[in-house]
Amino acid sequence: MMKNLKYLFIFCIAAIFISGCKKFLDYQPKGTIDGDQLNTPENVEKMVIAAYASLGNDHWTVPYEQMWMYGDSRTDDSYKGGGSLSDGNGYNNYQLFSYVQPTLNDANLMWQAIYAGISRTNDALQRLDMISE
Amino acid sequence: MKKIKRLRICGVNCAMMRLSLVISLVCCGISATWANKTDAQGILDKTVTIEISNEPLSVAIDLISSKTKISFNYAGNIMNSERKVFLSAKNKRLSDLLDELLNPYSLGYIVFNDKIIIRSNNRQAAYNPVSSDGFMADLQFYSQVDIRGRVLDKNGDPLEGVSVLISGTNRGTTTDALGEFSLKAVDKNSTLIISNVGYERQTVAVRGRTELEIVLEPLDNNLEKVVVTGYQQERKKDLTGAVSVVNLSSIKDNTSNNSIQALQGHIPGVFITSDGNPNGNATVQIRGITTLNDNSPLYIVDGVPMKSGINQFNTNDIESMQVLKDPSSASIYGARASNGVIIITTKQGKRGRTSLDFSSSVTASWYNTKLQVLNTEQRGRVLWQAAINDGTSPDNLPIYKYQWHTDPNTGPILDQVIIPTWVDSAAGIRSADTKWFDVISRTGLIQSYNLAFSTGNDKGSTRISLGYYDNKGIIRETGYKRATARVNSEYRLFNGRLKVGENISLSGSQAIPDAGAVGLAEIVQPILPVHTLSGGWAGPSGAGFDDRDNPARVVDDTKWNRLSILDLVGNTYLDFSILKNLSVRTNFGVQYEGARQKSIDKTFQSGFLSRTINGLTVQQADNINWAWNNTIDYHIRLDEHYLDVLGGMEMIKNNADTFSAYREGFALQTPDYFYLNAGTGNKNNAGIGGGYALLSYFGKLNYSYKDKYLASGTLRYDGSSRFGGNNKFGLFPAFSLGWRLIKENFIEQHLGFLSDLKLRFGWGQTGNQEISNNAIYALYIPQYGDPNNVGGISNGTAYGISGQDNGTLPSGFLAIQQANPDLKWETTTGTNTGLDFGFFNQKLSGSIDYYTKNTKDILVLSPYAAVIGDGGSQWKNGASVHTSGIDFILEYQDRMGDLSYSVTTSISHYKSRITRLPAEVVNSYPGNSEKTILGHSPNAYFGYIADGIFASQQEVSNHAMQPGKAIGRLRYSDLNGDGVVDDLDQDYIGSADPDFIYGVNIGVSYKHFDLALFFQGVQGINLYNSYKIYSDFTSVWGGSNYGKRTLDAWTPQNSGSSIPALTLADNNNEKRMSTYFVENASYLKWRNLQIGYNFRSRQHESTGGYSMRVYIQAENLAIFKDNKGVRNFSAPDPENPSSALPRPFNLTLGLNITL
Repeated sequence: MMKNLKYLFIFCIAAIFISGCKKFLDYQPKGTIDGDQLNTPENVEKMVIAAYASLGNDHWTVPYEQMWMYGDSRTDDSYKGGGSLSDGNGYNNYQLFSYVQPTLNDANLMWQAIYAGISRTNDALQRLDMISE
Repeated sequence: MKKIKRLRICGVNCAMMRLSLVISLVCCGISATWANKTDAQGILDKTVTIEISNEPLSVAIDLISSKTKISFNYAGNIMNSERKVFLSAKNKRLSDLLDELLNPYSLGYIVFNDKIIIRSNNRQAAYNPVSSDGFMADLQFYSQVDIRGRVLDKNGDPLEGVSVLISGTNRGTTTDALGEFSLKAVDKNSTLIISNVGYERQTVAVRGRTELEIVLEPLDNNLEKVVVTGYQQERKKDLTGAVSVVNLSSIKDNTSNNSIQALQGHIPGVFITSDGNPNGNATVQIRGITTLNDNSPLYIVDGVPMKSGINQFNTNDIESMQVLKDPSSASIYGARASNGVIIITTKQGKRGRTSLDFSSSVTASWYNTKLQVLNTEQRGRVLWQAAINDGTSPDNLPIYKYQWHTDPNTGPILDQVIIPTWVDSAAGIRSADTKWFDVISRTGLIQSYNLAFSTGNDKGSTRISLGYYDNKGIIRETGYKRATARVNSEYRLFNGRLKVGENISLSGSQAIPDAGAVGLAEIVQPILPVHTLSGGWAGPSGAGFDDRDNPARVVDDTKWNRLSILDLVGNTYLDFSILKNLSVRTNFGVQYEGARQKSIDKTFQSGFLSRTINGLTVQQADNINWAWNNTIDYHIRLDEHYLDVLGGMEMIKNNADTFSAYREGFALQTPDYFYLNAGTGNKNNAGIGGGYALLSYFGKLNYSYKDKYLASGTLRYDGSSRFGGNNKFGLFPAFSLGWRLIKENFIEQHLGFLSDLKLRFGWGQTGNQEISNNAIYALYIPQYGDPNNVGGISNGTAYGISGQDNGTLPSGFLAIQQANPDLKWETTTGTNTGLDFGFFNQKLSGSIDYYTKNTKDILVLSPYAAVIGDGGSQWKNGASVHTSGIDFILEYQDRMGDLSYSVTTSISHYKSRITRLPAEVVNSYPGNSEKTILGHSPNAYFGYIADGIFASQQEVSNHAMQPGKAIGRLRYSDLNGDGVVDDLDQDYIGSADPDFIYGVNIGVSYKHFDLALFFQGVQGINLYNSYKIYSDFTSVWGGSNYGKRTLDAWTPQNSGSSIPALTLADNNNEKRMSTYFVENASYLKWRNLQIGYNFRSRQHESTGGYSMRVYIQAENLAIFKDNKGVRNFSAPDPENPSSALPRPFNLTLGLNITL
């Protein structure tokens, strides 16, 4: 009895030592999407949608992606509007061609938004190359 | 040398346990025996000069009796021998004389009640006495018995080689391998002295018993003591790494619910910071800074690894605690060990003993570190002065009116501050002089009750314990309640070769979280009353107030908030000795923590602050960890070689889930109504999940030669789900060497005063994997785009790609993080060089350790250039930190008669600096374009050097260009001498790392009394005193109250002041980070004073012996801090510079009973 138990025990321990394998460490992020999951036709299309969403899709109070603020307001085509001159002050500066400096936050945020759009487009194109359809 | 045993569990003993053991075993009669022995020794030490020649024994005895004035009793028949006495003695001790006289007759003697009773060494003779007048009464005391006994350690394992001596004689024996001894013909009334190296000496009254079982308690700080060092146990004297064994008896009555908080100052190298939150907050940092991320250690409770939740454990259930401080000892825990490891083992039932322990304590606590704030009149006075200093009219100030005039010689003079009757008559707010600290605080009350039942025999043991802890904090409504239950049991089968056991603990706590009332009491104006006339809350009204709310309202409206935590921690194990030297063990442990927080936002109106819609947020976080480890252990002793090999594997998995739900619109505002379903308004919810897995293989090898040369090596191979595919597994090696010089002949021969001397050296690598579960992945989320996001870029991913412009639009994904498949653990490589020493049989002992450690590949989340677009942030291995330091501990313990005392001092020092940072991360740390944090501690402050106050216009003119400079303003040093005080004139101006931390613990016991004192301090630490912006400046926060220090601000008349002149506009930008705010926060605190009295029952244990201890204890009695220096600490408590909950002064009455 004792002897059998001993062998059983040794067997169990050996099994335990061998059992651990790499699969145990497999883990999928929870509540977010791992980039590798996006390489399907449906998801690539969604990446394209996200790229389009970078175009003029902002809330009206933060129109950084809406290029007309930066372009048209400098021409006769449009007028900044708003409550006062200090409402969206940066655009007033663009309109008047006064104190237009690269450090203006409106400029920075615009470029940030545009580059976000570019990165979405590149991401979508890259994934498009990876699927065979 | 005793052979090494694989003792199951051992550790620091608790004085209460020790007491109960002594009581139940020695029990009655101990003091009688002791007195007896003392008298006996006095009599026997008398010297005698006598000459006896050819006399019968009885005559010789009579002669001695007349010489010494001591009466002798004996039964006549034992004197029947014909043998005559020839004796010549000069100044001979009576005991020696009697031995010489009586031995030839096979007679012995004992001393009783100042008499010497002579009796036969032959038992039969003793049982056949001749009755003689008055002798019968004495005879019963010298009848004899044969004794068989067993000596065990506190775990019930037999102790071999223990000395057993009959008190007052030279007779004795030692125990065999089974711990057994036998003594023939021992006097029924004699006392046995049981002693063994490394254990407390015990005296046991025989009292006619023939079977004795004696349990010896290990001495504190003893070399033979077995300590748990990671999957196995070692004798303290065999340790080669830096392992601190916690002396739990010195913290057992601490009123904190958190045993880790109670350790503050007790262990060298362990820096614990804490506040007075009733839930027992504590931050632990072992040996300085190891990483730029989480520096908290790993806890192993009965083999279950955990990162938090220690304050949920009952301190009374803890048997031992060890701190593995250096990489060579902690490396066995691999990728989670770089911050050090604290190993906690819980109490087991004792073999051969059944006992019931009860302890309770009641503590009152007081707030004795209140900040000094202005009252209503003083605040008006201060503002008037500020306006005068600015050259503006005080008559335009809000709230206050003034009677003042200008003296032609001395300038403006304030006659009277006119406080308006109403702050806001419409709202019914009558002006007051409220002491907000008194309003929000109260006398706290802490209660603690513990009950433990423990039993055990050869087949198994069980310990059941219950605890209840209730801390009503000194800030009104704050509190923490906890109930704990624990069952630990172990069963032994096949003659103890198979052990099966479990430890399980359930604890539930409920806290009322701190609502920030202390911070509000510092800054809310005293002119506000608590209530309006109609009984509502008074609040900021009109000009002159900022938007900080009435602290009393905040306290009252948050009193229904609850943070409830349920913890289930347990493990079950199986330990099988396959062969004598080979054992396997499997251990499965689980830690579950469920935390539920209920936060109620009631509607209120408080001045111009209000909430009109009430709401309820319920959050639930579930965290479950399980760990399964399997080890195999083989040890062998061949002549003078000892080898111990351990191999094992471990699997750890963690899953965490949280969700929260929010609902608005509750018709009733009662705690019983605030449940989600009852709300009728807007709803919201959120939730996240996460987890990780670890798979590890490890091995350890201990070798010793002649008990003199020690070597140990460990290797751990750790895989973590948190690491990238290219670096899934990491290897963590370590080795350490020890040389017990005390065993060398030259030490033994020439330096006999040494009792221990050991040199240790260790090297090792450990890891840190404490980063986000998802750090390696490229992550995307769908973000529909919040139409109400007014402040920033919406980053929405929804677009009407097919042309629709209403309804739900199709949505894409947004990148939020870039992948890094190369991501790996942080590696800490460290060395430790230590010396353990002991003098005079360990009366004086201690150790000193020097260590260095370098952590590289520290994980940093790097910022990114906007050109990358969405989600450019990425976790990288990049930074390095170097830390070195010294730990020192010294202990002295001695005994003088009934007085025993001990003094333990620990001091430690560390210095940390960042040695490398990726270029893109450097700017995330304090610094400028010329100076970077490299070479400084991550806790360093960066700012200007305030070198005084401009006293004259000439000083102002001579100083470099400093916008806003004026008389009475702070002068900032122009460090680079370019004539302008600007960004480049900043420097590193101190750090929150202390030069050294220390603690002194003193314990004294005298007869039934014991006394304990504990002091703890931190020296050479700088802290940013965030309150100083209120206590010294009226210019920064307009509508708030200020500190009393403003009354002493600089004026031309008060030019000695170091506080800049009061002003209403901070034109000189004095709120900037400067040495003005970074103060010397060194302190020495008298933490504890305790006086106890021990009662001991005189009954035999079978008739219900008990021991009892009552004590009175005071905590946080005094704070000593820098009050005079250039950078003196200007607030009352350097330990809590900001608005954290203060640590109170506590007065405790406690009771422990052991049955």
